[in-house]
Parts: sequence; structure tokens; C-alpha cells
Amino acid sequence: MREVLRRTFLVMAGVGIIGAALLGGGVPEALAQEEVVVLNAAQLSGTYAETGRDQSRGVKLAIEEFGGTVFGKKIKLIERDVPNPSEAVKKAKEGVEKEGVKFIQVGTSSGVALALMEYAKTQKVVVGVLAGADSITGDACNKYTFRWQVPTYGAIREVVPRIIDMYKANTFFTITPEYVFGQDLLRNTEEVLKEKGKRLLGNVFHPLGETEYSQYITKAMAAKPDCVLFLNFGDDTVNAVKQAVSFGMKKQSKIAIVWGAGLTQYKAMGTKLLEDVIIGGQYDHTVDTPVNKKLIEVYKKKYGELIPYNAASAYQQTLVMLMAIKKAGTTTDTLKVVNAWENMEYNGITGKEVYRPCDHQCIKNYFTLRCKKESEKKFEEDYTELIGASKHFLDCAKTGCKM
Amino acid sequence: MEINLNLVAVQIFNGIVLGMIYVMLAMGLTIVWGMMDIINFSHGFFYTLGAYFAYTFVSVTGNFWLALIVVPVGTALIGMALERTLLRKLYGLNILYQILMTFGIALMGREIIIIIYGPIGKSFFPPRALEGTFFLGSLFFPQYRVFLLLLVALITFGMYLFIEKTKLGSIIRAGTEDKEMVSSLGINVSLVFLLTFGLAMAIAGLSGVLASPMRGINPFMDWNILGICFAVVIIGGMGSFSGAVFGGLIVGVAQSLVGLIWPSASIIIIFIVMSAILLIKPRGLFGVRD
Amino acid sequence: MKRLLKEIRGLLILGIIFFILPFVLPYRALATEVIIFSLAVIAFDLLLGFTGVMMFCQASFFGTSVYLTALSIIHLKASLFLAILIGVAGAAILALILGSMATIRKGSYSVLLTLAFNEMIYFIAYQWKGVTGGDDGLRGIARPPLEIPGLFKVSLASETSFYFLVLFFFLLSFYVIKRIIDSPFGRVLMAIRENEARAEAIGYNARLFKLLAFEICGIFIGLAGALHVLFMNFAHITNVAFDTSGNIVMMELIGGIGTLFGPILGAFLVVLASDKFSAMWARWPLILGGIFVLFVLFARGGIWGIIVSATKRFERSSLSKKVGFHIIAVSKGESDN
Repeated sequence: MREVLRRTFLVMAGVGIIGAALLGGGVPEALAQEEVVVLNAAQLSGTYAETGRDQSRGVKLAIEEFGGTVFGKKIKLIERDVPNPSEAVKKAKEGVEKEGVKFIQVGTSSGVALALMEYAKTQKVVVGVLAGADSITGDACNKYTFRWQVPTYGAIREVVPRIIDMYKANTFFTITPEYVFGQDLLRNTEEVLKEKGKRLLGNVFHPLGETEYSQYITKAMAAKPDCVLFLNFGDDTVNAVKQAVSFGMKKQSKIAIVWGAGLTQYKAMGTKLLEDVIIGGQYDHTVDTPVNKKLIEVYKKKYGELIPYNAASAYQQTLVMLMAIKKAGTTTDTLKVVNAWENMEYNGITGKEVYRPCDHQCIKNYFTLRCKKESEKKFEEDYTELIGASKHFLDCAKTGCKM
Repeated sequence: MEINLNLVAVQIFNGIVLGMIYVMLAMGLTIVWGMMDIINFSHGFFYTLGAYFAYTFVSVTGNFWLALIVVPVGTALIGMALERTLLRKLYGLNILYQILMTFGIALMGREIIIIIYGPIGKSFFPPRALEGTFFLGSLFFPQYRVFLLLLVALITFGMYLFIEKTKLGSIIRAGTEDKEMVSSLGINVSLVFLLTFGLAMAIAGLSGVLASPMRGINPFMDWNILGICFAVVIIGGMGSFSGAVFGGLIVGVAQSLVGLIWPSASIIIIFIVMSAILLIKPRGLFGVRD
Repeated sequence: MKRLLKEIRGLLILGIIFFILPFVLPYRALATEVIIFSLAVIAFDLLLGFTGVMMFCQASFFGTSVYLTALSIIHLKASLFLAILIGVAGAAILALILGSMATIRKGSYSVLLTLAFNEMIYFIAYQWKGVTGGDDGLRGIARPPLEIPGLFKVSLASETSFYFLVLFFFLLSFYVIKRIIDSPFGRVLMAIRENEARAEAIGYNARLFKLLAFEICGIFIGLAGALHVLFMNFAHITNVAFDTSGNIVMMELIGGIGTLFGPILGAFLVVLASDKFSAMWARWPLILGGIFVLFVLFARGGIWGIIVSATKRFERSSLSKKVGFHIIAVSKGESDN
């Protein structure tokens, strides 16, 4: 027994070592001094995968538009799939140890972002986060992390007052995902409604990824609110709204979606369903800035389609990160890059944007859109009309961020 | 949150509709389990496949009604092909390998779907004729769901006739009770297995077609539904047709009613009941054998 | 002395391979991942390969330990060994609870019970957000130093130093599990795997032995979990999710059920290949699934089975025939449970 084991084990050992070496590529590569390595940590598989591809495209385009080099060094992009936080940390470790990564863009699940940010801080790696959770520039903030998306405070304070005006709504009902993010949206909604003297008749929580919305819709319709607010996002919103309309919700209440996901979501729901629905968003094609117009053009030329939200946000933040590197004058002293990034005002796709130093949150507009009727559309993807934009952010002291 | 009678009534209706989907899936799962001793971890995958086929078919032809016929045939064919090539080789072995094989099939199938359709969820709408809502006083019932309820009731009745009255049906019925007897009667067991599997996958595919206009389609929907399917079959009783029907309805209604009080718990309650049944009375409510 | 050396020969070889591993792989963290999952999978092999009990609770034990170790560091500022101990203890208690219920039934019913249990644990972790962080997870988990107060203190911040701590635990665990398998207790487990009814007839309480195997498995998977959270400095609900169980099952089958060394190979293959190929192709799980299916069809003895039957030809001793029979029996799936 032992003889066989020993022999086979030695064979296995030999095979194993050689195999590992071959698979692994041997001794870790020396860090290339002629390159600046950027890691795009995107969700290319798993439930958020729709955003991963768009994020990739945005990052690549930004590097191209920037010129592909900085201080004569080539910008090398490596991409890794980060479907869950463990993979994210692992891939970040790989990037830092093996490839010499000093700059990361990560999106879009907050769990993934939070895990990766934490690790990156210990390695002094600059991270641009493309996710909406409040804690990223709140109690989980750190010196090396920056975030573009407007958190729930600003999103609600732009969209809900507009809804109140447009719909002349006095009573509301909310459908919220049972998730920290959903609860943040709800809390902010309750605050704004109270301020405006409007009533929240009730709320229902649903699990993330829910497919069966009948019980929530039943309750919402039973309360007969002027407007039903959908505080969920992505596919959940698509399913919820579709089912709500099939139950006849639109016949008795108005519908609004506060955290829209852009074009892919609109396509999934369709113009008929979305007629006159109000949607909030971080970005839209209708935003009229020269930078945005140019981006839409360039993207269309390269990829043959109207730029989706996740590509636009990734593009914008990657570009800013590269600009910060340039401004700092160094590709290795990341603290200098961080300092350069802070307070650097620029013309972004949503207008004037700047990342403030106290929490590294980008101060930018959040938008309210109205969905067009079929007859109002000028082309296939002309789903929305811009009806509002504004900037609202918590005072630095109130964010819970301590850097 | 006031729970009034209207709310409960609508929820019971929704529960029955949901239950109908479960009934269909459970019928397929239980005949495969009872007849072939296979715990089919890929059952959810065929449901997903049916949904995606329907999406493609409706996108291309715009004809939902035809999809109801074409898609189940498609999933049946694929199911039979897999049975012949992969599952056949494992008969007589420890059930572990069938579990692992069907699990592997589901894993691969999900990836293939993502390759073809992308990882984004898809959706398509019920046919125009069924887009509306029935309002009964202050109660509301989407037309599509009413249609689903009636259609599945019809299909279930059809299945009942098939199982009770046809030759293949009675072989299946006998096989779920006593496999050895059936093979000793000189029946071509391997052909019966093939057809049984095909039939089960046809029903699974059909449930996918029916469910998707309601619930949307995504590559991961198989896992969500699989656990409930197992629970329904266990609760109703493995190998039992009436078990599948009653189990499906009970689970659907329970899920909807629990959803009124504690939505997040509506599915885990099902698992708790399933575990209780497994521990106390594994034969389930109508089970024919242990 | 000679006998002792012979006994631990397998252990020594493993030790050498794992010793040089971090220097051979492209990055240290990868080696840590390989070794942590090797630990989890040999624990599972004890249960499935040697006792014949299939289950899907791996994630429950792994994840519970992850959370408990994390919480003990965050709230109690626990030292290294205490934190690990708390995690393992939690997994052990859970294994006792789940195992005592799962072993009431056999075969497919037992498997389904474990599936339901895993879903329930996931549900609890998801709902109990205040404690587990839900979908956001728990952060701020510092890695305590390795210290004996008064004697020495070694920081484990570097990947390399932490790796060697994990290596220590792995070799220790491997030795313990191997000793269990080679003991009379182990032989009873194998008898239960071969034919539970006969084992009962001889007078063994099969259920009790299965429960004990469940328990041991839970303890070592718990250890893997505790080490994992120290590795990641982050605790997330994916550790309790079914996928974690599924991965361990794949490593086990591909490696070789019931061969103890085989599953380690399985862990190597799955972790290393996933790392390499997922960067090339996001749909890499398709290939992994395909490999898995092929192994279920044609090589149920796993990689180890292939290696052994290949080298078997060069051995003529009767002892090798015995081991060969064992491997062939496993690969033909003739054990009955």
C-alpha cells in the first residue's frame, strides 16, 4: 500500500510542481517600470454581469481618449472578474503582487467594492468606486478611495420633490428591497416627504432578486396612494414594474422609479409600460453638456450603440483618475495622486464635477427624467426627457466619514 | 399594515397561480424521481431553457400561442438527448453520481445560456389579448394569470388522464411503485425511461414558457425554483401525482400568504416544512413508498 | 524511528510540496487559497469518501466559522488562537445540530435535508444583518499577530508569513485525519460506507458513527473557514452560499473520492485553473462543469484514480492489488448508500 502511494505521490508531486509552475508562470514578474498598471475589477459573470461589460468598455475608452500613455509610460489595463467580494480581494491581491497595480476601478456591487477598498487601503492603491452604497463615502470611507455616484441622500432630494410637483401627489407608497441600500433610500424618502408635508401611507420590503411581486403590489394598491415609489434597482425594478402594471396599478396611481439603471432597463420595460413614468438617474443621454455629446458620439462610433449608463460612469471616473495622475506628476507616489484628485474641478459628462476632500465623494448632478409616450419618440432609444437636475449632499460632518 | 379580507383573497388567487407553476414542475420531477430514481438537479435548468426558448421564439415569430407547443417539444428533445448520452451511463450506480451529473448539467447549461443570451435578464410580454386586468369590485386579477390558471388546470387534467388511462401512463404509475416488477414484465425499460424523461422535460419547459411573461427571465432562475420543486415533491410525496398537484398548490398558497406577513421568509418556510416532513414522515402527504 | 518516518512519509512529501508552493505560484495569495481549500476538501473526503455520506452543508460550517472568527476579532479583539478556536467551536456545534438531524435519514433524503439546512443558514445570515453585515459583509477584521505572551510576537501581515501559519494548520489537520482513517474507528466508517446494513448487523450504531464523521468534517471545514476570513480580512455571505459547497464537491470528485490525497489534487486543479482561466474567459465555469461531467462519466475515481491505475501497471505486489481494488470499487460507484 505504502509503496504504491509513495511512488504515485512522487509522480503526482512532480506533475503538480511542474504543472503549477507552468500554470503559474514561474517567478513573479518584475514590476515593469515602463508601465502604469490599472486594474478594472468588473462583474463579468454572476447576477450583476450586465454592468461588467459596459464598465469594461467605459474604462477602455477613457484610456484611449486620454492617449494611452502618461509621462511616456504606457497605461496597461488588466481586467478581472469579481463576481463576489472574496474573488475581488483575491484578484486585487494578484494585481498588486503580480502586476504591480496601483490604480483600480471597481464596480458595481457594494459588497465587492467595500471588500476591495479595505484591502487597497493597506496597499496604498488608489481605487475609483462605481457603486451607490452610502457607506462607501460614509463610515467605510478611506483616503485612497473615490466614488462618482451620487448616494441616496442626493438622489432622493432631487427626484422626490420633482415627483411631488409633477404628479401633484400627496400620498405615497414605497416598495423597497430588503438591503442596506434600500433602507437608505427609504430613510431619505421618509425625511423628504415629512419636510414637504406629504404622507407615506406604507412600505413593503422585498428580498433582493425577488421574482414574485404580487403580494407587494396587492398591498400597494390596497392603500390607494397618489404615487407608488419603486426604491429597488436593476432587474428587480423591471420585474416589479411589469407585474405592477399587469395588476392595473397605473389605473389608480402614478409610478416612479428613483434609482434608474439606464437604457438596458428601459428597453426591458418598453415604452408602453413606461409612458409618463418618472425615473431618477445618475446619467442620461439627454444631459446637455459638450463633454457628454462628444462621449456619445465617440462611443457610438466605436461600439455602434448609444452609450449605457455603466459605460458612461466608468469612462468618466477612469478619465478623472488619469487626470489626477497627470496632475500629480507621478505614477508611483499614490498619496500625491490622491491629493491631486481632491478638489480637482473639471467639466464632466453631467456638468461641472469635483471630488470633495472630506469624503472623496464626487459632487455632481442627479437627474430626473420623464418617460416619453410612443408618439413623442424621435428615434428607437429616445425613451426619456430630462426634467430636472440638482446637487444635494450631506454636510461633511454628517456623513460618518473619518479619514 | 392592515390585512383585510380583500388582500387575503387576492393573495390566495396569486398563490394558486404560483402553485400551478409548481404543480407543473413537480409533476415532471416526481415522475423522474419515482420512475428513474433520479433526483434531477437540472430540472430548474430545463425550466429556464423553456423560458429562453420562448423568448427567442416570441421575438422571432411574435407568436406566443405557438411557443406553448414548440418550446416543450424542444426541451423534451434536449432532455432525451441528455438522458441517452449522459444519464444512461449512470443507472445502477450510487445515486450520488446522478445527483452530481444533473448538477453538472445545470452548471454547464447556465453558462451556455449566458454565452448565447448574455447575463442580463430578459423579458417579454404576455400576448396582447392577455395584457389587461379583470377588476371584480375592489379586487384585481391580471388576465394573464387567470389564463395561466385555467391552462395549467387543463394540462393537469390531461396529465391525470394520461397517467390513468394510457399504457405508458400506467407503466409510469406502476414503475413509481415498483420498478422491479415493471422490468420483469418484459417492458422495454430503457425506452420508457427515455420517454418519461422527455415528458418531464417537456412539462418543465412549458412551465418556463408560462412563467416568464409574469416573472421575467434570467440565467439564474433555475436555482431559485429548484429548491421549491424539491420541497413540493417531498411535501406531496415522491412519486405521487396527487402529491405533486396538492403539494404544488399548498406551497404556492402558503408562500403567498406568508408573503403578506413576512415576505423574506416566504421561501424559507417552505424549506422548514420540507425538512420537518423529511424528518417525521418522509413519504409526504400522498407518498407511495419510502 | 524508521517506522515513524515511514508513517509520516506522505505528510513529509505534502509538507515539501506546500512549502515551496508560494514561491512557485504567480502570487502568494493564490497558494493560501489552494491550501485552505485543500483543508476543507480533505475534511469532506472523510465524510463522503470514507464514510459514504453525501451532504451539501460545507458552506454552513465554513461560513459560520468565518462569521464567528470575524466577530470575535471585531468585538472581542480576540487573539489569533482564540479567534480560530471560536470559529471552529461554532462550526462544531452546528455540525452536531445539523448532523444529528441529517443522519436520521439516509440516501437522497439525507442529502436534501442538508440542502435545506444550508439554505436556512444562508437565510439566517442574510436576515441577521446587524450581526453578519448581510450582503455588505463585515469589514475591519485585522489579522492578530501570532504570539505567546511573554515569549514572542510575530506579525502575520505579510502574505508569506500568514501562508506558513496556514500550512502548519493544514499539515496538522492532515495528520489527524489520516490517523483517524487508519484507526479502528476509521475502519468502522469504511465498513458503513461499504454496507451500512451489515455494519449494523455486526453491532455498530451506524448513525452514531456517521454523526461523529459529520462532526469531524464540520470541525476541519470550520478551521478552513476561520483561516479564510483571516486571509481575506473580510467576511461575506458568499461563504455560506451554496456555491461554496458546490465547489468543494467538485474538487472532491475531480480529485478522487475516498483517496485523501486525490481531493488535494482536486483543490489544486480547481483553484489554480479557475484563477488562470477566469481571467481569460468569464465563462470558464462552463469548462469546469464540462470537466466535472466527464469525470462523473468516465473517471469516477478522480485524478488520483487515473494516476493510480496508470502506475498500478508497474507494481506487482499483492498490496497494490488491494489498493487497486479499492480505487476501482470507488470509481465504479459500487458502494451502496
